[in-house]
Amino acid sequence: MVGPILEVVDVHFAYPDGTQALAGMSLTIERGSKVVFLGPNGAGKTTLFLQLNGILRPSQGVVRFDGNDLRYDRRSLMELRKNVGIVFQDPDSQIFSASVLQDISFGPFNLGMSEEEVRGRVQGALAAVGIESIADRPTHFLSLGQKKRVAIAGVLAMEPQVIIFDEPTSSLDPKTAKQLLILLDDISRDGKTVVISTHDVDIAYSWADRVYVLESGRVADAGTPQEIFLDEAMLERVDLTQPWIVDVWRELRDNGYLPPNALLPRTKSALLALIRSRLCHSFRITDLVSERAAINERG
Amino acid sequence: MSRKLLGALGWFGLVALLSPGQAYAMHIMEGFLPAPHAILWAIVTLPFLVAGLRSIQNTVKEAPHLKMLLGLAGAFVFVLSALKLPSVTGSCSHPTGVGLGTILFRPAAMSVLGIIVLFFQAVLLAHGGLTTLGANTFSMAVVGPFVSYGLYKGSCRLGAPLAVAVFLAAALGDLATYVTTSAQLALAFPAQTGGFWESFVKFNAIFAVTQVPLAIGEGLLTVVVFNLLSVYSRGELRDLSIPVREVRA
Amino acid sequence: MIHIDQYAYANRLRAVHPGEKLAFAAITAGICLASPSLIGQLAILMTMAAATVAIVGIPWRFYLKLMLVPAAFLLAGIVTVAVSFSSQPDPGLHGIDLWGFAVGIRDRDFVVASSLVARSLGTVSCLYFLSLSTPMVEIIGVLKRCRVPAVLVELMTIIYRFIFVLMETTRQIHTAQVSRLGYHSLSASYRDLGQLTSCLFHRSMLKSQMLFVTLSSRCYSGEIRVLEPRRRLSLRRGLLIGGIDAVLLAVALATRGWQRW
Ligand SMILES: Nc1ncnc2c1ncn2[C@@H]1O[C@H](COP(=O)(O)OP(=O)(O)OP(=O)(O)O)[C@@H](O)[C@H]1O
Ligand SMILES: [Mg+2]
Repeated sequence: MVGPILEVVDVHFAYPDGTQALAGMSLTIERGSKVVFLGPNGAGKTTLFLQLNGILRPSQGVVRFDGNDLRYDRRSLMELRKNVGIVFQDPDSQIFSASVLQDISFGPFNLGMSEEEVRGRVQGALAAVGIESIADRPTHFLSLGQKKRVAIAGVLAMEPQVIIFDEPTSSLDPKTAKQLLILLDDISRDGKTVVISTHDVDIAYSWADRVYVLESGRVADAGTPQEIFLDEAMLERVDLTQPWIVDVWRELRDNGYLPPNALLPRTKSALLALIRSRLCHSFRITDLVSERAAINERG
Repeated sequence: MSRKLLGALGWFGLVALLSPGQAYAMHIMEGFLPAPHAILWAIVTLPFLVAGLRSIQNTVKEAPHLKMLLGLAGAFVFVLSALKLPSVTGSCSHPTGVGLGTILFRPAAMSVLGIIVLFFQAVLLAHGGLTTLGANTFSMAVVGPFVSYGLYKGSCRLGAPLAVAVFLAAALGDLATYVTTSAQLALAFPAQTGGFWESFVKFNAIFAVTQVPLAIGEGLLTVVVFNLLSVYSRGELRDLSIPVREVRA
Repeated sequence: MIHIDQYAYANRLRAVHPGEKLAFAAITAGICLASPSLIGQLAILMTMAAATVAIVGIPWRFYLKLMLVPAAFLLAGIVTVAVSFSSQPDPGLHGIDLWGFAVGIRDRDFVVASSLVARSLGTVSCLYFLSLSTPMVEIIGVLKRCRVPAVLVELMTIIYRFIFVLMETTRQIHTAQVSRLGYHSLSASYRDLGQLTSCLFHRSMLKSQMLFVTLSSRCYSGEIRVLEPRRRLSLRRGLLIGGIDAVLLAVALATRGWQRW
């Protein structure tokens, strides 16, 4: 089951007003991977996603799903959209009904399922995103995080192979954002290909299998998170900062607290473990303090 | 006679001014019309609604995005009618959205959007009613839009400045709505001596106090809005096929 | 406004089949409208008010406030119906002489006006029972079952949802304007309100394009099909509704002749 599921080959695209949003973009998304797209505002992330789902059509170049060039007749588009779902940035322009149940059932019904099947799908999706308890509430009384979950459930219920999230954590508080990332991991563990765009380098660094950096409608760089975030010159050029883990690791290494060959950790806990293992070799201030107290007592 | 009539009208005006609350577009309240009238007006409105639905159904088939456009248009008209018009007298009144809605979305669509908006106003805001939905739809979503659109097209054709056309469409569309409502009420409650006409005059007079300033206010607002739209929303106006010309407020 | 909507989602009859609530409100409103008796209408008003406060669980203060919403129209309406004027002295007109001009109330008009008040408020209480106990989504669901055309139902679904989205947008724009000293004079108010409206229109149209894109990505192709919540009809409640309405009808018929004072 490995191999590319989506391929974009030299795609160009301009909006009707003449804005050249994609200018020769090429990339490959592996089946089952976790891919992050980074890039400044206007780099073309959303436009790219709309190409992957057949909403927009390249003026030049091709998009492939499962090895086949996309075709833009109604049938083929339905088939594609069944397999590639997008969760948009603003749930308020995705949720069309005041009823959570109705909104989630929309996609499955479009796939031609019976009412019973749809009910099953909706229940499954509600459980997967953990919002069974709010299924009865109107969408206009939900918090942003809850609305995002409803939007995600609406796509999950169609059981696509690829799910694309456009800025899933934007304007969420840190806790909600973290829960959302856990949800994305769950979805990925189910074998789905998960693609997200974000402006948060820390999320990109810790979460992704593969990172694409976009700039002015092109791919500026691609690679594993470690490769991308160690390339300071490139980061500088596209105005990206380094993830704090990379910053701290580099600082410790350059000042000799870590050996020059220390591996770059991916997560906060890995970094802390690394630091702790180094600290075992040096002595601790708390030991000194307790020793001193013991001396005082004796004296 | 006419001087005495004026005296009486002044008295009614006083009553209306003292009446509490805010001036909404005049919808007949729930239960105010006797059953035969309520049913009659529903029947009269039905053909317009059917025609409007037909025209929407036909266009949606070719352009599926129109459903979303009309949906947002309906929500827009509803929210518009919940805004408060600035007024000199300090009383607060709400626009009807008929004029702007009609110019933007056409009378046929407005009959459908109108009945939905009136339905939501009745259930969510307790303005108007469900038994009087037929009558209110007829005055606000049939007569109002047709008068607005006729005046707008007519004065554009006669070469009037766009601002004048827009003002007339919005203000007189409101007035037509409220005169129609008065006629509906007068038909239901004719005066004992003067019959329909006396009652018609009475209803017009008492509601004029709130509805005439409202019409003028809404006319002004619509001109301001249209002026801005023709500068900042040319694209949308073109999609809705409205001539884009500079308006002078 | 939003209060009515909030109660509709959080009340004691939330789990009851919407068809039952709609039928109860509609049949009672029908009786009220057709009732020839003032007593019958008052009985309906009392019954519905009691049902809404005691059974649906709406705080009575809020309910009374809601009853005042149509007061302005009702007052203006009944005054217009009740008060007549005449240029000659008229013995049938109980009232005062204003500049040699008789202004007053006729017997018949008084009867008409008072039954008008009872009928209107009675029907209003039926409407409130429905709107305070039944979420709009479920009312729309019943309309769909009643074979209201699909386009109308779909439009209602979208409009209802986006009323709230656009209200929030309006609130944001308004706050932004006020925080920059908007609406400080009459002419400024018109300019700022115009700005708000045109901005709202612009955003509405953008939203509609976005919505089309997002729904298309979920395989929209011109038709919107959705699930309805499952609610069970109850025979017991059906009988109760039938019983109450039968009593109200009987009261209306029995007290038919009473209002000739
Ligand atoms: N509907 C549209 N019409 C015209 N131009 C558009 C439209 N949508 C996007 N653009 C333009 O296309 C370019 C790419 O936009 P896109 O939305 O794909 O960027 P993005 O990477 O998603 O940015 P952001 O981080 O702000 O979401 C931008 O210059 C943008 O202004
Ligand atoms: Mg974007």
